[in-house]
Amino acid sequence: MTDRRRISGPSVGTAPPIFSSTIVGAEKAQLKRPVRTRKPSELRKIFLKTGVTPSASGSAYLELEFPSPSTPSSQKKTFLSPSSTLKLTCTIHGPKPLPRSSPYNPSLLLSTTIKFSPFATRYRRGYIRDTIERDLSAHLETALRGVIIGDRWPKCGVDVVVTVLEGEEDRWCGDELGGGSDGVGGVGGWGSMGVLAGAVTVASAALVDAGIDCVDLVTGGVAAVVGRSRSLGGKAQQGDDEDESFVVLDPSPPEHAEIGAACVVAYLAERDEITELWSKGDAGVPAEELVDQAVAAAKATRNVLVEAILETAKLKFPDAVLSTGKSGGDIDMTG
Amino acid sequence: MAPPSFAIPGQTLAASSKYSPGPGTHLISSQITSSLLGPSDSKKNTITPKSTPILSIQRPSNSPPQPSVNTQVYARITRLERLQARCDIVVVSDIVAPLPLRGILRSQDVRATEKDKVKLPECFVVGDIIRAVIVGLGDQQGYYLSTAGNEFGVVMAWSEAGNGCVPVSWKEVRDSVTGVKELRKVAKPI
Repeated sequence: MTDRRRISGPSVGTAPPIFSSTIVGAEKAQLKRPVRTRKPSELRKIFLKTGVTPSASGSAYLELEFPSPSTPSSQKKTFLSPSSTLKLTCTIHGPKPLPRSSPYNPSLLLSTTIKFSPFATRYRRGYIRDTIERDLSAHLETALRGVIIGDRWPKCGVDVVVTVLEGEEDRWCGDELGGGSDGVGGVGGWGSMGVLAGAVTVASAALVDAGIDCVDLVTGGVAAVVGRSRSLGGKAQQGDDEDESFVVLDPSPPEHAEIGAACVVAYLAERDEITELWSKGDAGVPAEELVDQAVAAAKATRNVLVEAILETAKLKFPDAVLSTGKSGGDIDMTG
Repeated sequence: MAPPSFAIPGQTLAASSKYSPGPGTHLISSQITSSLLGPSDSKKNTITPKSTPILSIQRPSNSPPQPSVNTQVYARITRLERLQARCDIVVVSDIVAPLPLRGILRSQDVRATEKDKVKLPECFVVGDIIRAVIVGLGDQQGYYLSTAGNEFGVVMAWSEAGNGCVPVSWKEVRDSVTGVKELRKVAKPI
């Protein structure tokens, strides 16, 4: 549906201009595929902070470490950033009374929204929610629904709004120039899985900040099978270096030429439960391992979440004795 | 084992044989588990003194109040109907609600005696502030309130002329400027 009230931009996504010099030089240093420098089982550093929006009853901000660029910005000839990162804010409004027209509901009515900023990714988005945003919102709702104790808040509704300030790209910009199956308009969407995992974590921190009853802390984790496409599936254990595919935690899609499959989980570590599982692609034999690795990523993220909410606790209950964990002075840490 | 003094959601606090779960906690496989972030607090059970103490987690002060049965509230009358008065609950147990909650005061809940002779226009006027108690969570229309009891009823009223009123009896208020008397179900000053 089009928005008739205001002058809207193009209905299809637009990309920032790519100059021919960069296409010619795609092989050169200025447009090189970013390389994953961390170990396969290592996450990017996570910054998480709660209480960033004073007007909301609960809020949080999550940012992933941006890999240091291989070329200094002064020598760069293009505005295109080869790698991508994640910046999310979450605000929680409520619990508030339901509108008069809504029917009686004995538990908390949860509504979740994930909205990309127009500038969040190279693919620009309009103000109206598109299908990916609706899909991610539904995934986030299932992830949070299993965590909230809804019957503590009868006749109330709560809005969870996640704004994506910077989203993970689906592929490296160099791949986009070449087109092909994973090029412009091709199959992909790997970036949205990282966004969902981050959204689950940031929403969990904001829920704690808002003081909404939860059975546990939920965190999101993502893992992917990367490698060469022909090795995916049954041939993974052949052992040839060229053909090998392996599982990485917290993948940054631009860093990998081929992503065979990816999996997001929303995981409750204390209860050992999964509230949301989303898998995409053909993982083949290592599908079970993929889920296990995604859970491992979620477990690692939990450490950051616990540190961040202990920081919150210091602000909210300054005179309470913090005995649950060591007093971490800095919440910027590895997962 | 004493429960931890501070808890995060999902943290196990104590076995349910030693304590009873209170606000901010829940039970998982006979373990009391925190569902909030905050300091823990154990209180003696006042209703059944022989049972185990109640373990609860303190809610942060900025979280919106949860109305429950027997909670004292302050509300503003917004509409008078023949059998009920509608109101906006503005204060729940001494905490200002961030958004007003809808409440319904039925005529049989206005006072404890002679319930069938209550005439709502002789008890309330739109705009009055009442002190009331919640008697039921009600339906989607709102919480059911009651002003039955001496200490419940109108605490602030304005006369037809628009001046503030002072109570003169349990069913009358007087305009503080003109001295005209009007009918209200007045709360006993406390």
